[in-house]
Amino acid sequence: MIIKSIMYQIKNNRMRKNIVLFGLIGVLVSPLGVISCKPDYETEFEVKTLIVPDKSLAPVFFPLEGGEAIAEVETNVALTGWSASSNATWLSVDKKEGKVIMSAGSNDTYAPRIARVTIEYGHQAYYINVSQTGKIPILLVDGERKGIVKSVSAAATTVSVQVTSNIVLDHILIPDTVDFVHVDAITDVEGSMDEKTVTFKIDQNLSRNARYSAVTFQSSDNYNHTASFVISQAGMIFAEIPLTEDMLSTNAQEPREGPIKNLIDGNPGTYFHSAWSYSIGVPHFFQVTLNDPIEGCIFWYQNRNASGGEPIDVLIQVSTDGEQWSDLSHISAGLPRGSSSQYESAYLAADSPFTHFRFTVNKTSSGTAPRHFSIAEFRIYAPE
Amino acid sequence: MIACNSYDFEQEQHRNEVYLLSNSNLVYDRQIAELKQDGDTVYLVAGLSGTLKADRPFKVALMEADSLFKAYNKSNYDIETDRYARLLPEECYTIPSLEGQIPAGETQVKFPVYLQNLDKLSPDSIYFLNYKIDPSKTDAFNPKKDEVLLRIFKENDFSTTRRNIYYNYTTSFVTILDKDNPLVRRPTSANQVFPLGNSSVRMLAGDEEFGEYKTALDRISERSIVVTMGEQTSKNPLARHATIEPYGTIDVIQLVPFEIYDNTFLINIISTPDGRSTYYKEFRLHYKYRLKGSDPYKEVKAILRMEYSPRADML
Repeated sequence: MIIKSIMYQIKNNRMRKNIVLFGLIGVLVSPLGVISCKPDYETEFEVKTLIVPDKSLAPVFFPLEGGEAIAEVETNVALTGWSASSNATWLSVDKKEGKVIMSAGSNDTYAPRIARVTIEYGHQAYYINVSQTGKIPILLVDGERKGIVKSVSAAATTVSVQVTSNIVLDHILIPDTVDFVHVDAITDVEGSMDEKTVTFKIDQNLSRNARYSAVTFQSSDNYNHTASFVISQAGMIFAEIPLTEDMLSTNAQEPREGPIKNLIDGNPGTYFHSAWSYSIGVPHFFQVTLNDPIEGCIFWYQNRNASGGEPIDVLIQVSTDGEQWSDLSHISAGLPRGSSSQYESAYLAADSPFTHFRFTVNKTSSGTAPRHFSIAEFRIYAPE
Repeated sequence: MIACNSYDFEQEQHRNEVYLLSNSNLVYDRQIAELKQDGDTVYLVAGLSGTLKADRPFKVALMEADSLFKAYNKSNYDIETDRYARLLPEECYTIPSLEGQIPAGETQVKFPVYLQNLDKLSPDSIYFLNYKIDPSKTDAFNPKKDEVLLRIFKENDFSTTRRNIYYNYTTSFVTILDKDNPLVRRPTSANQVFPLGNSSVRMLAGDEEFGEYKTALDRISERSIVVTMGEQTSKNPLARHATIEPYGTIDVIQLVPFEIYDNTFLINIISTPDGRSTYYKEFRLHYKYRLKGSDPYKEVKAILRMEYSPRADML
C-alpha cells in the first residue's frame, strides 16, 4: 500500500513537470508564429520581362542591295541588361531602346545567304531568321539549262557546246559509268566575256548499241545552279560477210560426220564436227579466209543441238597471209554450254587489217585440247 | 538534442592523410580534354582526409608508376595484348611540377597536366597516366589510395572518346557506279564517329561495317574516312566546309557539292510554328570510295545527323 502511494506521487510529480514544460514551449513558440505571418511590404516585386512580338519574329528577307529591318522589343529591362547578336558577318545588329535594327550590305555573291539574329535576356531568347538574295547566276548550254541532246555517230569524233555563264565555270561532270566522253578543250569565244566553247572527245562506239552520257556544268559560285546536256552516240552498224565453202578450212575435219560446209548452211540441225576418229596432237581449229581485209569483226555461232562438244575456251587469231598469226582475243569465260545455245562476241578490233580469221578450241565442255568440238552455225560481221 | 550536443565535434574523427583522388578502382576518369589548338589541361588531384581542416600544410610529391597500369591491362585483357591500354606518350603531356602542398585549412592540391598533340592519339585506344605518391617527400598518406590511373579522354565539337557517339543516316544514298550493276542502297543505319583532331573525325565510309569493335582494327583502317571541318560557309554561318580524306588504305574522292549533299557540317535548327526548335549536328557529304582498286566506286550522298541540345550539350 505504501509502495503504491509513493508510485502515485512520483507519477503526479512527472505530470506537473510536463505541464510546466509544454507551457514554457508554448510561450516561447507563439511569438514566432506571429512574426512569420507578418506580411512583407518591403520586397520589390517588379518582374523583368523581355518580349519580341510575333510580328517581329517573322523571317526577314533582304534584297540584293541590302537594307535595314527593325525588330520591336517590349521590355522593362535596362538597355545594358539584354543583348542582340547576329551569327553572320554580313548582317549587323544595333540595339536601341525598344528595338533592334538589322542592317545588311549588298550581296556580291551569286548565291543567297542566311543568318540568325538572337535577342536574349537571361535564359530567355528569341530568334529571327534573316536571308538575302544573291546575284542571279546565268549558266546555259547552247542557250538552255537542260534538254539539249547532241547526237553523234559511232565513229570517234568531237562534240562542242556553247556555254554562256556569268559565274566561274570550274566543274564539268561526266558520270563515272561513262568512259567514252572526255573534256578536250575550253576556249573563249571571241568578243564575248560570258561565252566559252567546250569541246568533248568521243571515243568510237564498238558496240551495236547506242549509248548516252549526261554532262553537267557546275560552278563553285553557286553549286545549286547547274546546266546539263546529253550526248547520244549511235551504235556501230555491222554487215554480215557472206561466206562460202571455199573460204572455210580446218586442221581436223572428222571424215565420218560434220563436214565444215555445215557451218554456213543456215540449218541449225546440221553441224561441223572436228576429228574424233583420229588424233592430231594439237588443238583443233577452223579458219576463214576473207576476200577483202577488215580491221575488226564480231563473230557469232550456235552450238550443235546435242551437248558434249561445246567450246568453252577459245583463242581467236588473225593473219594477213595465213602464215603469221597474232592473237586477237582469248575468250575463257561466258561461252554458252547448252545445246543449240548461241554466242555473239564483242567487237574485236585488230591492230591492222587482216584477211584470215582462226577459231581455235582450247577446251570443250568434255575436256581439254586436243579435243574434238562441234558447232552448228557460224557467222562473221564487219563494220559497214 | 542533449546527447548530440554533448558530442565533441571539435575533435578530429579520422586522420589527416594525403590521398590521390580516384574511384574505387583507383582510376580517375572524370575529366575530358578538349581538342583545342593550344592544348588543354587536366589535373591530378591530391586530397586530404579527415573531418577537420588541417591546421598545418601537408607536403605532397608524386612520382611515375606503372603497377596500376600493368594490373589494369592484365585484369581486363589478360593475353589479348593488342587490346592493352597505353601510357600517354611523352610528347602529349607536360607536368610542370610533381611537388606541391596542401595549405593549412584546405583539403586538396591540383597538379596540372598540360596536354598537347592529342590528335596523335588513336581514338580506339585507352590512354592513361600512372602516378603514385612519393613516400619520401610526402607527409602522412593513405597507403590504399597512394596511386592513380588518370584516364585521358579527348573530345571536339563533333564527338568524344568518353562515350560512343553515333550519327544516323537520313535521306542518304549509296550507289554502286557500275553500269552493269548500278545498285542503289538507302542506308538508315548509325555511323559511329570518333574524334581525331581539333576539327576532324573518323567514320566508316558509306554503308560499310566494322563488325565487332574488339577485333576491328584492320577493318577500321580499310574502311574509314576522315572528315575535317574548315571555315564557315559564306552562305550560312551555321555551316562549315568539310573535307573528306582516306583514313587508311581506302580510295576516297570528294565529289563536288550536289543539292543538299554539299560537303558541309551544319548545325541544323528545325523550328516548329509554335517556336520550339530541334537542334541537329549534321554531316552533309558527297564522295565516292572503293576498298580495292579493282572494285567499282560507290557514290555516297549522305546526311549524317545527331540530335543535341545547345543548352546541355554533351559534346
